Amino acid sequence: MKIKDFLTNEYFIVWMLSKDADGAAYWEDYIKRNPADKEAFYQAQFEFNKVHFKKEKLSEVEKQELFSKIINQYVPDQGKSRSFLRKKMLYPVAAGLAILFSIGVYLQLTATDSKKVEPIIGRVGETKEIQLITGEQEYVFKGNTVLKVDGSDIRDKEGGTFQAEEGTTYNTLVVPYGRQSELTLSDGSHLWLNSGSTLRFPTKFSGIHRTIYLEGEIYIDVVEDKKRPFTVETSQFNVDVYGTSFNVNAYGDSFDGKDRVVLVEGSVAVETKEGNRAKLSPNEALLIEGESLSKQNVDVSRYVSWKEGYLSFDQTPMKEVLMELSRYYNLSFSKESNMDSDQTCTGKIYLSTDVSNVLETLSAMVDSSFKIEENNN
Amino acid sequence: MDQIGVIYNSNIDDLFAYGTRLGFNKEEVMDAIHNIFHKIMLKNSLSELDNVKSYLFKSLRNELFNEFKRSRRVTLVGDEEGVLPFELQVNVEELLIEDEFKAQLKSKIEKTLRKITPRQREIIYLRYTQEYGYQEISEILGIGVPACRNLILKALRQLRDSDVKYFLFLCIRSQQFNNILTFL
Repeated sequence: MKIKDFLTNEYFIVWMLSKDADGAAYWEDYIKRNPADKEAFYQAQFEFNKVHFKKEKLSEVEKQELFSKIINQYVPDQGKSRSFLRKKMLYPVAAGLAILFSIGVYLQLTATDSKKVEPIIGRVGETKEIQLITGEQEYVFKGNTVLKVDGSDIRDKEGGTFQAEEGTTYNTLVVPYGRQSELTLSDGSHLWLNSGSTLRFPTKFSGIHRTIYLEGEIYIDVVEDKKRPFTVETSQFNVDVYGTSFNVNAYGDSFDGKDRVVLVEGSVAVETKEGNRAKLSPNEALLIEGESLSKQNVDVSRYVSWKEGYLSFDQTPMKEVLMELSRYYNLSFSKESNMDSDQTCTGKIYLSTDVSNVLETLSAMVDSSFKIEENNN
Repeated sequence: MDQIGVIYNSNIDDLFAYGTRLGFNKEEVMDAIHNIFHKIMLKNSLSELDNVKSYLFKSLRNELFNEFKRSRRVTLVGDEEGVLPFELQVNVEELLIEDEFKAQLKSKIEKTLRKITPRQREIIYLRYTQEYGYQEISEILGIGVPACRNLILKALRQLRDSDVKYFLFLCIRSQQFNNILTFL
């Protein structure tokens, strides 16, 4: 064989690329049998080593930009789960990434029943971006945002600084449906504000009380300060806190008509406007319905997973799954949808900022379909 | 941060090239690289890793593959072979051969690579560009060392056999030709 014969021989090509010992033995034997080809064989090997695979490359500028993003967005005390939220801020326009967020593959349908479910018809409420209102100023954030009260300023993770106007004691953070926000208060208490919620908080806590006002759902880690008790006030009740982590669900229009406080650790007391009082221990949930209070033991992870960007279900009836999603995205499911199906869901649904991604997965999993209708009223 | 900068600069090109070969677009690969660097920064000691680069390759592959599963919204059962395309194009410009033959050789190599599976191409790519042994590659791909080598042996044997048949065909032809000559 000549050089060209070796170079175009398929076995030679794959052997040269894989450098497997098997080929070496084969060619050694070949050369023994065909000593005249020896020179051509070595030359072919020498030339073939100059073959390269075509490589896609980033420009130097792109490499620098990517590196800055890696360094600047790195916060050592945050777990990896929240990187889902950061991603959104990173490449808001990359369509490919919408998928990234979209949803988990972890959702499993446990029911073996494979009957067709009627189309689920929903209505999407108006969507807005997260807003921060300080005095006369109003700031709008694209996507989920992470804020921190820092002295007389409020900062976001991108380095943006929003000055709270002088004299303003309370600021308002409004999180629309399909979004959530994270906020560190001036005393270091750290909170997550869920979709469809409003929070009023001071730039600085003054006096002997630390009080914030909530409408909606919050998860908060309160920094202990025995001299200054912490209170979360809602329209129906107050939660008095003593250094603790808990979840308050006070959507005025909650589906089951009940507000809820779930305690993860520490100790809290709940007092309704009517003067009813209850103390909670860890892993307890308090349901508040008008004047009646009822306690139950719960798996807290189920109630607080939303702050990590997903909803978690364990053999949960479809009806409840749809309700949770309705609240997060402000959807209502039509009567035609088969809400009484016996199907249950176990697993996690990632909370995409785009509801159709979530519904698509859900309907694929339960062998159903959905249709979104705008409600312009 | 200095250590991260060094690791980033010495690996970014290879990681990006590998990610795009796996069939993902630029933004997807950049995003995955972003995530895996955050993950390694969460690790306290990078020095515990024997081979930072092969660890990065493995992380990138997992990150992208998970993404692939998410985006297709299906649960893949068993081997993903044949799913990630791993297409390869070659550059033969540096070879000391005439231009006409360059074009022919390029197309021959690419055609040969299309005859084997994506998984086989991926192993070849890692061996040829990174000079990795089967041990490192099996860790990156998450398969056993014997399985990894067998994939390459299978590719080699398959192509050797096809060449052998070709030679046999030529022999028969030439013998017939000789017979005709003798007859004449």
